[in-house]
Amino acid sequence: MASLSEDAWHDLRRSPVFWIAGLVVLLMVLMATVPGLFSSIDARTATCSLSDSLRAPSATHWFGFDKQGCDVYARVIYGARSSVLVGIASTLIAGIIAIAVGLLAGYRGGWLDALLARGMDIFLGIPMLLGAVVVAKALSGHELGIWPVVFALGFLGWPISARVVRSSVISAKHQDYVQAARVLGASHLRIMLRHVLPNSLAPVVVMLTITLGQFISFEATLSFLGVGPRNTISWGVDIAEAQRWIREASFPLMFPAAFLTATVLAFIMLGDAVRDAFDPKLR
Amino acid sequence: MQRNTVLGLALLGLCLSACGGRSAGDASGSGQSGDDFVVSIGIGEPKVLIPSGTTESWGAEVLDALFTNLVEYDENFRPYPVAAESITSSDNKVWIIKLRAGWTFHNDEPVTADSYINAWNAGAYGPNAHNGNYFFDKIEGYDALNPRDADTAPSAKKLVGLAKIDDLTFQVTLKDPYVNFNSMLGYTAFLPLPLAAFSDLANNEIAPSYNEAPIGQGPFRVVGTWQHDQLIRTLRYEKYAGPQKPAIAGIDYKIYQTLTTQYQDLLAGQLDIVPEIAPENIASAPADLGDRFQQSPASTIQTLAFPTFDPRFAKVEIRRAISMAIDREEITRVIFRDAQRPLRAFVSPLVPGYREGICGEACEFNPQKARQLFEAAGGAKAVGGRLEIAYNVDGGHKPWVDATCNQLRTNLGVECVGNPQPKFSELLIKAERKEPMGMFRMGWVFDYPAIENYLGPLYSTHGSSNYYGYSNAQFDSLLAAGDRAANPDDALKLYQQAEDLLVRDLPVVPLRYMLNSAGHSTRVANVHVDVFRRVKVRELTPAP
Amino acid sequence: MSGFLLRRLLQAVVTFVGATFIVYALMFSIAGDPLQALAGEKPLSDSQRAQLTAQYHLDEPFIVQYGYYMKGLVTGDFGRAISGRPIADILAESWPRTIQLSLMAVALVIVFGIAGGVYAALRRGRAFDQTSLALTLVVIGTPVFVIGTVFQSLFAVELGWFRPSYAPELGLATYILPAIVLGLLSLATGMRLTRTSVVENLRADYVRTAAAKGLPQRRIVGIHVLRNSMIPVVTFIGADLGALMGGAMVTEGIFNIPGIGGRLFQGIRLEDGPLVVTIVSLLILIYLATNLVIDLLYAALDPRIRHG
Repeated sequence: MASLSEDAWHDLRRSPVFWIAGLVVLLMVLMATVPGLFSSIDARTATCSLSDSLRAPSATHWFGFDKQGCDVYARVIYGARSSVLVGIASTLIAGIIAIAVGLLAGYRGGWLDALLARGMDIFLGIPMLLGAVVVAKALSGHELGIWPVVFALGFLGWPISARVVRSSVISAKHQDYVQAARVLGASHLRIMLRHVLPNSLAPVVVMLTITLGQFISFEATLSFLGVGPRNTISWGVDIAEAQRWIREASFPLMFPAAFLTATVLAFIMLGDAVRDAFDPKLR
Repeated sequence: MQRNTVLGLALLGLCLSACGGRSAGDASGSGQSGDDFVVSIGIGEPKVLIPSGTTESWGAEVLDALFTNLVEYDENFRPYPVAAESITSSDNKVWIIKLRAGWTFHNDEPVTADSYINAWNAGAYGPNAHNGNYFFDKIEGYDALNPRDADTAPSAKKLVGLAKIDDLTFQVTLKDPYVNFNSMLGYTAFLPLPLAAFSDLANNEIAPSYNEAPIGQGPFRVVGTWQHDQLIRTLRYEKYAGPQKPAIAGIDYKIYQTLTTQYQDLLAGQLDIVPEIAPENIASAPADLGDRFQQSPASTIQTLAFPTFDPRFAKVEIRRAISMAIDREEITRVIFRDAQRPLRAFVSPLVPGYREGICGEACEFNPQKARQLFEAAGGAKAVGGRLEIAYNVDGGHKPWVDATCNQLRTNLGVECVGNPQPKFSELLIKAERKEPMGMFRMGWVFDYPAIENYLGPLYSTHGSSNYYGYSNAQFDSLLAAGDRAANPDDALKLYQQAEDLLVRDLPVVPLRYMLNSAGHSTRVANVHVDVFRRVKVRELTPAP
Repeated sequence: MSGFLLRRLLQAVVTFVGATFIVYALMFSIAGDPLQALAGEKPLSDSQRAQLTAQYHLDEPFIVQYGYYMKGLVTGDFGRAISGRPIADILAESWPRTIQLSLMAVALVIVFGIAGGVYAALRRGRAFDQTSLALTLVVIGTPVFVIGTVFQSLFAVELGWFRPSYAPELGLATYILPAIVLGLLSLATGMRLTRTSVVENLRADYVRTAAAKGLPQRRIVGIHVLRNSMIPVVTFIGADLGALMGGAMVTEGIFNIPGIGGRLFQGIRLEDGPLVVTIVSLLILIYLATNLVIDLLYAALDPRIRHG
């Protein structure tokens, strides 16, 4: 295993896509953790004045002002935290559930597969919006900012990925090396984790990086539908708000949207690069 | 095979789009003469199309074309009889309503006193659960039709206060004298119903099918049935007996989910009239539409309400300081593009008895004085370190709430955040249960143009929409005295004295009154929108 | 094979009951005051409230309400929405519209997603691959409502190629623009998935073997690679059909299509339990049916997967 990750790292170091995407992700994560590095205005406490409403970008205010007269640049910088958090945290939740469920269902098969498949079906049928409304309602009265959105996305967003894991696990378990390991008397857990899982990860990693992007933009859609995070600065909230005034000015929409798209793009490309490097079939 | 079918459908669709015409004229008659000229008006899905069940404005918009009210209002909002010949009372308690002869419903049934009595009984009958039920509570016998417990059958099925005198005359007896009862009669709930509407007249039962194709006595009749979420088609009623025959052949009420889509369709030439343009489109509307963009008075007012039972807002100085820290001009100019204007009174500028600037200094923007007042009353600590403004997210209120919060933060030096609630009704329930949620937005649209319609329900101790815990015995008795006054002028003076108390106590602070912004296509002319935001359909004509 | 079908039907019943129960419970848990929601911003009189409460069994405990609902469902009575209209009527008129919209979107995904993905995989690293990769990323990264409103403003209002809103007189053509907006995200995802899958299969041993045996490239790709690459893609499209119909909530709202998505959104907003549960149950039924078809397709695509 050590040699595989060494090889992968060796491969990755030579991939320009990895470096560019990694750098963007790093930048966004840095922005999310220490926004003060990037902006002298703290968007959380800044006073906005309607006299600056929709003022165009200038040398001192690069991204101009939004409808409320808030500095768009500062809001974009401070909005990174929520959006990056939504993306990573809800993908983690969804990914863990998806891999666990998909692996168990695909590998064990039988009644367990049937049961878990019913669970997936049920969760696939529940609209994300309904989940978001329910979670938001259940947690209303608490100042939880972005977390209701994270939970709604994480706990409802896993079934598609789980199905992808399941079908690649089914393909993988018919492979010769798995049969061989079984004949050699390896335990089921060992076979699942050492042989089946690594060989079925590729499609789900692609799926999850896409999911991560979808979650980040889904946060915006939830804001558009009126059930987004409360009293939180996030790209989604700002995009949804700026979208109302699109006929008056488009830059308050374009800047957060560009950051959102760039972040999603970077995560997906990073996922692609890592997958290419780790894909045993390449060797 | 399946794939081929689907692909085929897609291609067929593309062809249809390429071949199909796309002008509004194609869809609804190409001629410009009045005889086949159908106008499309954008609305939202009405909840109900039974007059006494309709209290929201889209349903009222449609019913206004299907029916004609007993009274309409002149430019000073004095009622004058239309479907009625006269409405008189000597003591404001017993009212005699005489109908005009010769009116018929769209099914040729004559309109008689019974048409009104039957309709009002059904509206007032508790088990029908009509939304307009509360309009009848001034009429004698209302309580017998409305037991408080659902398991108890009402002790009566008909209002004892309604009595037929002859085919075209009936008498209404109120529980207490009410001077502006004739003004109330312009409301949708008081429209008549034909016998055809009832499946069981004795039990006040209206047939469900009536709601799908209401039969009225107005200038337009429904064609087919209500196509939910899509279309209500009407044509001119040729035997209409009202004062003004329509100059157009019919109206298609096109149902939309959002105001923005209506506006997009207007721009694309697919819709003739948008009765209400959303705030986010108003900035560009004058350029998009030119003189086809129009603004007219509307009765909506917006206020910022305080839960006065909450110790944080119990002090009037705090409420006054908050009011004075809000720059109403800036918000109306920047956020609403002057489609809403600063309000400095507790009633709409439309109603008789409105006094400009009656709120005085408390509604003038004065950040220094506001800050002083605020600090003297305990400052940020007194309000728990943070202000909140609760609003409903489905009403497009976020922009002004955020702007107001930004102003309070800047001018009072206290943290302020919006507190979004999914729906206005939920906000009201929280207020009613006295759950902590901070200040909240309130809005009011009048049911009929009278000053007390802005005062009684909102601020009297048992007012149906008094969510602030405001209770002032003097206010209550002034209103009651006004209701009992001998004539409208005397009543007005008493109502105004009641309003003066609000200026002193500030249970809410006035923010803005609304103008209605409407737009129309080049096909249609004489588009006027009344204060209820209803298109005056009888006046519409084809563009010259 | 009939045993397989029977088992699937039983499973479908289990799923259906489970889903209705969970969704009903969720709706019950958020129900604030549906009656006030219905009345809107006007006050409700006491007697009116009492009447409606009894009519909709709102004073009964959860399990009893669920019982009433299931009883109705089994006897073919979907009940009434909180607006008083029979749910069956609402479904009958709005369902076909959403089906048409979703099928058109799926057609776009199948035609352009798979074809584009295969082409990109074969031309890996070339201009088409790079451009389509970038474009799919931009699509995935942009919220659907932004795409929807921008497309509506651009293609319908400014350019006049389409109508900005639903126009039944145009027939199926009225769904073209909304279907593009609705299907774009799935198209992008499906295309990436196809590309990944095809690229992987192109590297597989059997391709090398086939090439060594002298089979023409066209045949290798057209028959073997494509067939083996389709499993994850077919899985995705099947799973996505449900999501598509859910996603119709936003698209139908923007384009004013009176379909199931709009009713669902409205139902959630109005806390209309019976309406939401019925719609979601039907979404699940459709999803189950699609997946049955897809499982049968698996067997066709990969002979190693057998249904016994």
